[in-house]
Amino acid sequence: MPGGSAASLSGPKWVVLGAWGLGALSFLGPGEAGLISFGRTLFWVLVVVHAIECLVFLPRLRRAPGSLASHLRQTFLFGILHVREIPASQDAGGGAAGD
Amino acid sequence: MAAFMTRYGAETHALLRILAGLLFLCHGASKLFGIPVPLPGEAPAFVIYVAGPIELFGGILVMIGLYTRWAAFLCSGLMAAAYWMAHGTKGLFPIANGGELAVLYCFVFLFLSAHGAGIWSVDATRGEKQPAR
Repeated sequence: MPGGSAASLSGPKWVVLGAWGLGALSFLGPGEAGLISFGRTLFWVLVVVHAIECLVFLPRLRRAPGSLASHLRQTFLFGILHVREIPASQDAGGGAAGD
Repeated sequence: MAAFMTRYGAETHALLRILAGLLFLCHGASKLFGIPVPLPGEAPAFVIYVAGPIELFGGILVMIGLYTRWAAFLCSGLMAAAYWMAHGTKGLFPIANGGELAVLYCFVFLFLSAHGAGIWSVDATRGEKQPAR
């Protein structure tokens, strides 16, 4: 887990992990009401959003040092929080912002 | 007192974008998939198949901050159209015609379209452009 061992996780990454945990736990609970429904929606939002970020940043992750699979796993878990940790020098020509 | 909260301008801008996008995409998911809750009644087909996808994908793009200006502009236009189609003809004031949510969404997205994604966004990460703090 390069750059992502439990000891080195930043505060925001713990928040995202907590959201994943809440989402995953909601599938263990019965019914559809209240926190269960919220957790499941949160889980699917995280899946879709981080999958899009994996696709958008794929060229950048390919150029980054280390294994692509590890970077994809980290990006799927933490989204841009992981991508921002990739050194900018490894990212020359990383694509123009859409904004 | 004048400086109260000014140092958090960038963060609150990002929170506004993320929350507005998240709440908006729930409207689209509700229309298209009945998630997290199904629509309470029958909706016209064009509301489900035109507004639904714009709300879902526009909300996702605004929330993650990808092509934010264009996505927010489209969402703002959708809300303006929705207001005049569903609410504006029922009364002059939004508080009377039930269109306050559409008006708020319209102007929040217009603001985001003009100001961009800000920090904590895919756009900022792709271009490494962080607004001055």
